Amino acid sequence: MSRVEPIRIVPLHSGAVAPAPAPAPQLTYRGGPLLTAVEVFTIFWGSNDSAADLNAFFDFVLTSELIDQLAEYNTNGMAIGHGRRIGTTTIQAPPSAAVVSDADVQQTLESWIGDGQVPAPSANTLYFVYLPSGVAVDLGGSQSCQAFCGYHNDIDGRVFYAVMPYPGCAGCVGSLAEFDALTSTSSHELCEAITDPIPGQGWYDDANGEIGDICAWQTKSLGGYTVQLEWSNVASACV
Amino acid sequence: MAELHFPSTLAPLFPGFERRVDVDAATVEDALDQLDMRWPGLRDRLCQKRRLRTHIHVYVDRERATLETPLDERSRVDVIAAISGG
Repeated sequence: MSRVEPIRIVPLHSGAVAPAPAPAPQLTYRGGPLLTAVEVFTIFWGSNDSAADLNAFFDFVLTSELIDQLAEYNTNGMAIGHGRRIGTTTIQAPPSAAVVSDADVQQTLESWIGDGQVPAPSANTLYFVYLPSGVAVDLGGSQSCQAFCGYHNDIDGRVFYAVMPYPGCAGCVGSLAEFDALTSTSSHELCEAITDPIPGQGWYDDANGEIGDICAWQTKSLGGYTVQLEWSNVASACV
Repeated sequence: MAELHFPSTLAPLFPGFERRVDVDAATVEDALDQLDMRWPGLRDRLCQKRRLRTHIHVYVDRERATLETPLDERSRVDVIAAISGG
């Protein structure tokens, strides 16, 4: 099987004549829901030394200008406003396998909701599932730290979640400290989940993906935290 | 012919992979089976047994689809993977 390079890499200069520039990204709205007042619930699946700091990050960023800048994607009577963190939990027992699938995550998240370890979702709830060091996610043969660093998804359009594998690899850290890589990736998934909670049914660009994909690994400092730039249709740039 | 669009994440996995492909197929599954002959392993990346993998979203003419969703010669099929560079 071919090895997949992390999406975040900067390609080498090929020396070839540069092709004509591709059209600028333009996210279009596809008719689905948005998370207009996102309610983040963090789940640490196994112990995580950064749990308290990550919760503090969400407490800050959910009312920050990172959310304000998403207002340009208000549509169909839906206005994106500030969010809040509604809680956190640490599931002491880590995943039983070193590699979990998205189906495993969905099944486990549903079981936590079912037995009350995690609150039931509202239309704005976004669960952030942080995995411990040494556990990877496999998505159809593509593994975290080899092909991707995080993702978000939905279960039947009623449960929205992001999965954040531990960034214990160069491809998901780059030149950042591990915690900064985590906040960068978390901000990427946060903004994507707000603007496209059911992937492909919110704001999406056919050629380039979601709001964060276009600007992957372009970061800025906000309130002392590292966050990722996000695509602005209005500015036609990552901001 | 139905017009299929695939995510960029698949391109590094299959030499010569084309993100936009025209296929004469009756259903989404039929289309993926045909493309699996051209790029062996493609179906397995997108499907587990007889279902789409949970991180794969397929839309036919902007409507959420399954493997059984019928296609006609003017269908547009968008395959989206919930994987990002995050």
